[in-house]
Amino acid sequence: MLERELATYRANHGQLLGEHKGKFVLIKNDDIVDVFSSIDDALKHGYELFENETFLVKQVLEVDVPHNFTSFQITV
Amino acid sequence: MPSFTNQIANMVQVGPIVEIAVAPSLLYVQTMTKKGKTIPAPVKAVAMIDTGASGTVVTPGLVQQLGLSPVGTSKMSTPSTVAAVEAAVYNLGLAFPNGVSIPSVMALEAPLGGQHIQCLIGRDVLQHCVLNYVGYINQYTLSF
Repeated sequence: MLERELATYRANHGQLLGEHKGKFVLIKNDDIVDVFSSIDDALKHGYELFENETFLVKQVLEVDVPHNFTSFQITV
Repeated sequence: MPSFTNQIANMVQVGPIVEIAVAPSLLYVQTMTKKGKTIPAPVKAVAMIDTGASGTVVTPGLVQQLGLSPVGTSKMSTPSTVAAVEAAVYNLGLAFPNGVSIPSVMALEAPLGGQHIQCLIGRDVLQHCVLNYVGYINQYTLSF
């Protein structure tokens, strides 16, 4: 699931963090397509270019904070 | 303030649940309509309001019915995970009763095994709401 895009993000994380901290990067396969100020702009651009194909929109942060679930509703 | 109220037979046992419609986000619908593409029809689901969930969750079966592709990933920690696991993220729209709708939610995909629900409404949505939980009459109201 999005392994290639995540690998591209990790490989470029230092540079992205230095230049675009807090912004939203759009990645398809090995390519960083563009960086946007809002998540909606990044998603819209992704839909326009790739339609219903998989792509990665990710906020550029120093560390990813996991979502947390305190109840046992989720079975992972 | 748009709102809906639900009366549940036994809210202690089943929780604050609601029947919703899950669809592609408004952003997806607008972009694909402009391109003349077919838009997947909304899918009905039973959702639970879960203040113990930081994010909204949908089951793999639900996103499979919609035929959408993920647009992100996010790490998630649960009581049963030792380390955070990576989950696919989908850009969805949620429609609640009484015409209340949320045009864009970034929902995580995770199994809700053996349960009567296909969606958890997490604090990412609840941060915009007033949740009035009236336990002694098995009723709650969500206002946006």
